Amino acid sequence: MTKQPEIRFDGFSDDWEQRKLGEVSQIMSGGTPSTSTPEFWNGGIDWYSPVEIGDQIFVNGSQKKITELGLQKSSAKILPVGTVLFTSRAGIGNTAILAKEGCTNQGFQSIVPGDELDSYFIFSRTNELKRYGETNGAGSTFTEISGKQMAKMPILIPKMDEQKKIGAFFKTLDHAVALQNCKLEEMQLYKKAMLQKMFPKNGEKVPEIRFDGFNNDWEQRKIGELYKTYSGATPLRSKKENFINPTTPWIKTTDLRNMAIIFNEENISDIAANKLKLLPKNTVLIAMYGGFNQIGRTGLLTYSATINQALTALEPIDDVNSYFLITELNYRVNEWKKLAASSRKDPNITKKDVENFILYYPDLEEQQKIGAFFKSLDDIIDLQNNKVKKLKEMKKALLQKMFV
Amino acid sequence: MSQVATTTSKTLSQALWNSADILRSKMDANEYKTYLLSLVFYKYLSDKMLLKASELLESDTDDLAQAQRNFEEAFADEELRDELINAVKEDVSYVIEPKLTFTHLVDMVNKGKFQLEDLAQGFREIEQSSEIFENLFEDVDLYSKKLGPNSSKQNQTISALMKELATLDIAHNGDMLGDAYEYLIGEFAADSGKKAGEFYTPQPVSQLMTKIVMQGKENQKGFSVYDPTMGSGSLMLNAKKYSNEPGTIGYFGQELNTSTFNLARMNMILHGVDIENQHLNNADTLDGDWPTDEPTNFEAVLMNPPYSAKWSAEKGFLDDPRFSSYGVLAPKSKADFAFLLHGFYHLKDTGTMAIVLPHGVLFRGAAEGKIRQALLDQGAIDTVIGLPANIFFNTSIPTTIIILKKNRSSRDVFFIDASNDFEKAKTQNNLTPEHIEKILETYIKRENIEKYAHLASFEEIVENDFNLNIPRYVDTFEEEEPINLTELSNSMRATNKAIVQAETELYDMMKELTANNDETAQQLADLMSLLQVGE
Repeated sequence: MTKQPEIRFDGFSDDWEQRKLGEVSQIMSGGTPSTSTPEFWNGGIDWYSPVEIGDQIFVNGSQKKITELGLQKSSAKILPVGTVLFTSRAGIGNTAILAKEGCTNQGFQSIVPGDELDSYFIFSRTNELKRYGETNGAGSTFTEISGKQMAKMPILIPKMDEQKKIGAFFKTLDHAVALQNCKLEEMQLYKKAMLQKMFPKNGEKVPEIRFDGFNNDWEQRKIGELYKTYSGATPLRSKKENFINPTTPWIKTTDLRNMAIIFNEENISDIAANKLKLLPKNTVLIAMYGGFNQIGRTGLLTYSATINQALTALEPIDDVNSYFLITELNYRVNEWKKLAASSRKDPNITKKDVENFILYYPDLEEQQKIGAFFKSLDDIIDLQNNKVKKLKEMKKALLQKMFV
Repeated sequence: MSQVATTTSKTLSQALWNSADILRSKMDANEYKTYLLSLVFYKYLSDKMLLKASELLESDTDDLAQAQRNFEEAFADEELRDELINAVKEDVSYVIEPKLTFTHLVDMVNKGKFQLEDLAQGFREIEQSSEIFENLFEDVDLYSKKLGPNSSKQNQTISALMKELATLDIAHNGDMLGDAYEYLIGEFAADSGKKAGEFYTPQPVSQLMTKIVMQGKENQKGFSVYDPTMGSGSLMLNAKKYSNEPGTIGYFGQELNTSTFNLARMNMILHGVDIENQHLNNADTLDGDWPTDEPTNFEAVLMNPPYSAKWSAEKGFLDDPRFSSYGVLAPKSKADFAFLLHGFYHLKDTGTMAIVLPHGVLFRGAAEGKIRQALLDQGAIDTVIGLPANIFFNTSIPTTIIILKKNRSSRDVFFIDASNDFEKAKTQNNLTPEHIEKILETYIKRENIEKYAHLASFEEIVENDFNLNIPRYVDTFEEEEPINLTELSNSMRATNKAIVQAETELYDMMKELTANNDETAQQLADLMSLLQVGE
């Protein structure tokens, strides 16, 4: 095994040193004060439990607090700033760094770095810690890793100044990822805000924000009055000819992602397709069942396809722009849920419910402008989403090459 | 013998429940409830008779031991005995011989001379003394192996339970014991789990249903209440609490399970219902109709039937007057509408019916859809009240109370969605008095309340294809908070600025990185180019 990573900071060339985790840090567990003694609780000392760990890198306030007396009367111990909290059971390997001193319950084996270990450096190696914990844990009711076992973990480390540089690098990278994610959330919020203002509120006939030059009231019509609805079917799987030489796309609920469909999972043969209706490009699909969270899910065909019985198809018509339609349906998805029968294992809506749905829409030209606006917004959001993914992949690649 | 004087209803309930510890280790709740409730009932009858006898002998006492002695002396007097027996019977309709009273039997327990046969004899004497008590104790098997492996152990178990019960004063305040009995039945239902929980409707739901069906009739004499699936009878006994003429209420109930039927009979007696006001039947409500002798129609019909029960659905029922006007029968595997139509058939034109059913009856199609439509067409369905999930012992599904009336002037339906109004408890949810009052007040006012209640016109119901699923009419959906665009813009600008700063910092750090081979160096360069694309 080589002792140097593939990528390093300039000026560092020494071999990394083989150590055990317990040699360069202290492994500390915790405890729980008696819950039937009020004097132990609601004090000024942070006291963490495993459920709080995993979402944030730095933690500076626990849900529950204990008092000085609670600290004395339990196995909990004060852990210093920079400690890497590490959950040791019921989900081994969640980590966070203490930004303010605190303590934990007994579900942790936390790493208190010594002089030779940098907090963020060891935090960046969460995946290794987790793998080690899961591999070397024991227990029948649930797996748990002991402090003694954790201390034996072999680890290759460079000198402290290189550790600090590596730690600072990943801290900055994590921050950049978090910021790009924040930007993604804000863009999604912006879209939601524009949907709220560019579609009329309940009972209103015009939206708050419109493109210049449009002043007419919006129409309200039932989908069933505008469209001829259609539901497909599932070709008999026991008949092999239905799936031999499958060239016709066949859309199911799982193919819908509330956006244009550019790929679907299954095709069917010409024999099967002849019994179904071939739907044209720009048809909007609505899922009627497949689980409560699937109801009202949409898709927009970008190529001709057939569908199964779980979907209702709205073929393109002159008066409604398809991208406008899918945007409105996505915005109002929660209205389907009130129609879904609620006490069954698999609630559903019916084609009749789709037909009775009241659609709000303006003149076609305004629809096209609105549809184009939201498509553009969707494209930008998609680009931002891709950027976040790329940064996360970047981090993964650098973790592989900057550590040994 | 020790006496615990002046127990409150609550401590009495708790003491009775604790008495069950003797049996709890030997059998499950569905089994030991028969022993406990029957012995409590026997003690009640015995104590009541003893105190009455003393009163009649003009030797009033609160001391059961003294009362026992008085009774024994009088019984020993040849001349006095017959007169005393007649006088006691006239008052309480039964007599228990001095040697068979609960008090005497406990004395025998304490002296080590108790025989199970004596208790069995006492049960038989009660059963034979009046039709009101006929077969009342037939479920109590004093010689069951579950009480112990042999007759000696069986004797010990019953003896221990009797000693425990002997410490309780339960004769003076009948209502207090009735409440305690109610508490016990509730605890047994909770303990029984799925199997036996159907015999009891939790008090909050019972109260709500009873208040609704009694609305405006609190002062009516001769009020009649019918429960075709009465279980322990607790549901219809609520009428006693809310009527200002409780002594005149007629109780009509039917129960399929014989054990539960007997429990209901005891419950009636303990709540002080006169024999002439009790009309209970042990039979299958979904078989032949009952009652068929007058009266057959009632002011109130209350029901909490077993949900989605199987029934025969034989074609012959299409000619049964209860079902014939609907053209279809409830399906074999879901008897909900069969129970509903039975109850509705027995409702007076001026009456109100309240039935608890699963939500499925509100929207299931096929035969049930046809029945629902027929009911709606005649304006029979007055109100639909959605209850929280998990408020019953034997099922966690959400349930609904449906209120039906005849000869309504309108065909509208009032919807109340109380499914989010509950108090979270350990294993199930509870309706508090506040929740009940809110539902009741809303029901009375019959006005729209946003996210809670909606008065739907018949046209609206037709538009929904006679589907009564509550969310269609009461929208509890929380509107999204409007987003402030200015705040959002400022936040986005700040984020973009922070991104530029962080990525610049990151880029500068990456310039200091060196790869130890060409391939990795190229990959590193590719990664860095990500950060130069800008936003």
